[in-house]
Amino acid sequence: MISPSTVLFILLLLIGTAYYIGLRRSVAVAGGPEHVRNLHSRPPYYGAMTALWCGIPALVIYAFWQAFEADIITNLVVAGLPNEIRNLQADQINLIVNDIRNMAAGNIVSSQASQVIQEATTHYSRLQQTSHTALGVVAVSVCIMGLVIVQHKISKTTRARNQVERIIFWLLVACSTIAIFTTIGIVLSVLYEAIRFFKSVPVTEFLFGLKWSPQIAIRSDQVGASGAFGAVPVFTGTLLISAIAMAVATPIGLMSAIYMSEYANKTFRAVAKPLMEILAGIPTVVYGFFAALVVAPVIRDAGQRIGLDVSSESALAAGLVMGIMIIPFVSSLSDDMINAVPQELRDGAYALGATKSETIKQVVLPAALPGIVGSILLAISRAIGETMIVVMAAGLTANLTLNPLKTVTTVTVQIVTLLVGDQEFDSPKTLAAFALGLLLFLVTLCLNIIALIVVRKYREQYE
Amino acid sequence: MSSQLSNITDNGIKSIDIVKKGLARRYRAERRFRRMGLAAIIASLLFLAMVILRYFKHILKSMFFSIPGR
Repeated sequence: MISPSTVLFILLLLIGTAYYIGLRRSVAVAGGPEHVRNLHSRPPYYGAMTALWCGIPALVIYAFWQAFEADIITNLVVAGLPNEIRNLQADQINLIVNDIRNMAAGNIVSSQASQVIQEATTHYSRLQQTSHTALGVVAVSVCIMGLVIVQHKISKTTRARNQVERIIFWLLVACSTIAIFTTIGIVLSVLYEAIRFFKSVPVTEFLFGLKWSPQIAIRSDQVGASGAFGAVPVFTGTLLISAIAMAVATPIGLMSAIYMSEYANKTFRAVAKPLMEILAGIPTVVYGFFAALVVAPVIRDAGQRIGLDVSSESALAAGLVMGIMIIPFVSSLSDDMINAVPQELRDGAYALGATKSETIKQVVLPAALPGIVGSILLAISRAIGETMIVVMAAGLTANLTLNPLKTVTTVTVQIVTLLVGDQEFDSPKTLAAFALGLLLFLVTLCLNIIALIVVRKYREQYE
Repeated sequence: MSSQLSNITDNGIKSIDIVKKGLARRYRAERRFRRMGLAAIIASLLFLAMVILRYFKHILKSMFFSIPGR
């Protein structure tokens, strides 16, 4: 039986061969390697043109086949089942289809398979085999057809370079379109689920409610039967921890970047920069561990010594460690931006008698402002989205407080909490995760827009 | 130029002294700024060392940890 991965391997092999054949054909058409200058484009372009015309249609067919094959086969198998099974509810049919698929793949099934299911499995396997063979035949035929057609079209005047450039252009357009549609798809799916949530919980309660306790009772007489879905405490916690993190990361990161780009010698820079970047490479769970076992107890003990009431898990501990984690995001990107400022600007400031620090503050930083704001924004996004450190060091309780010594929680932590374990997607408790996600998306979007406005207003353009 | 700088102002202070004072202040600010940059890098590296050392300390502790009674 031919498998899809074998088909893909054969296609890739054919594409490689097509490149070589196109290259050789162009050299032959030119009249030998010494006459290649008579061709419109260089021989590798003819090879690339042949490979692209040979590979793209075949790979498109392969992708579509793979995308729709399972659904078509399933529909055919279900259509062949007896009426009493076909008349079952959709979720029951899904269970049977899952059993058939598992049996066809050689996995364990949920129950003893009946004669009907066994026959359906045989039918499924046969259809799958036929489909794979057909895929192989069609894709390889299209590939070979493309190769033959393009090879015959190669002549001295064939504009291979233009064709390759055009295909690459459209491939890039396709890639960016996929990226855009993926983003739109994510937003729409979150929006859809959030709208379902807002059908059971009013938007005003979610946006302005001061209590977050997403519990929905199974029975109406249960204690604590009504859940509270006020998102204010969750967002306050997120903003508090992010603010603490940024208060640590922005000055340290920015000053490090300035020192490394303007003052440090090459040797110091070569050692310090990679070392600092290690901070970004440490897994967040290690930071969480560090925050929970080292920083939080130190803060608690210090607070107790001066008579403060400090929780074992606090926003301060999580924020501090998160700030340490995002220092390299600010420093590395800002360093690159500061280095990109033209030397002439610095020379001009020195010529006017400015000291180095005055030049940095009044010339270099305004010129690098868009990049620096970009790096800070990236760091904020990272801080807002961080989950592990908060879970381990700040706790899970949604307290509405601005006291950094208290336990708080963040949006991402609550999303994780709501979606852990078996879920019921009709319950507001589960759907609340999507509403939180949507609101988080909107908050981040607003932050980005504000940052863009700030950059446009204060940016110095030197072109 | 030097004669201009050595002029005496209304307060009885020489212009050159005002310039020297200003320069001293600017150089102090320069040194302060430089030290802040260096301190930022040192702080980052200290954080890194602390995270790594603490982590390895716990790893070593767990390696030599034995359950009592076994």
